[in-house]
Amino acid sequence: MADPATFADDAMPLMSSLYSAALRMTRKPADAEDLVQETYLKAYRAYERFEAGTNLKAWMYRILTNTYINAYRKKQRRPDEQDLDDVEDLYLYHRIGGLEGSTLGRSAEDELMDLFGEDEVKAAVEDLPEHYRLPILLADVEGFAYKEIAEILDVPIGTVMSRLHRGRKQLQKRLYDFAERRRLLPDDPEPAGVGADASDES
Amino acid sequence: MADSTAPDPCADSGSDDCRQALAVLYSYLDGELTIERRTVIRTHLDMCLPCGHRYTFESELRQVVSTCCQEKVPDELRDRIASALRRELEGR
Repeated sequence: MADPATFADDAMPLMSSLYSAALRMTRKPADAEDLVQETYLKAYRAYERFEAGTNLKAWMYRILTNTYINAYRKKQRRPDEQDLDDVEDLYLYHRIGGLEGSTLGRSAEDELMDLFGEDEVKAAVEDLPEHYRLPILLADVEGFAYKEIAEILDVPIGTVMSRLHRGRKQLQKRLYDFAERRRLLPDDPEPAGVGADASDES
Repeated sequence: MADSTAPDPCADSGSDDCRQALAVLYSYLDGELTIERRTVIRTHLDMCLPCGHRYTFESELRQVVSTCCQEKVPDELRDRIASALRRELEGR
């Protein structure tokens, strides 16, 4: 049994992580803020039932996820949330893995950041259907174990694993599509007359 | 319509060891393999350059996704929740 008097000290450090997930779930800052606040109040009121010493972060995520599913999802469900065509394994690696600039001494991480940009990565995650997006947030962003994700989402471990597998491939396809689009439509052209030739690589 | 230019994912993953390593790639990166199994895969990755590259790529891609998805909590929200919790505590 946990002491409500310690709740703020115990739970406030988790807010960045919860808010980040809430923003990817709701896609809107105002909704994410309300969702996080509601999560904290619900958790506080139930804190006496939380078993001290067990995983507080997983418990808070379970409340966050259930609150989101019950209150926010209905009004946000989009028509394109049906399942998508399967994507091959290692989709991105097979297309851009060769770009890894080992000759330049750069890591794949730097190369990937150049290719996508932070906003595109966020958009690619937010664009995933929800049954893929939630497990991916929990595993790839928050580092929860399969068993914890299964408990947070109330689904069998096998379901967690298959959704992660398919969801990660979908995410890679979206990232690749973003990179393709950017290559076709450069968003930062050289000003006319200054280095105009240098920007034309064709 | 199938994309005929898409490479076969298994085309350059020659041996059974490679196929096994690829089959458990995500379980490995997720930290979900037993220590014994993990050691077997680690040994293979140390010897097999193509598999090592694939693992590194997937691992760094995940790091990129994770980094990009970290958000800073607005101060106003932190204050709002802190005072809401204080009110709850005082109301007990």
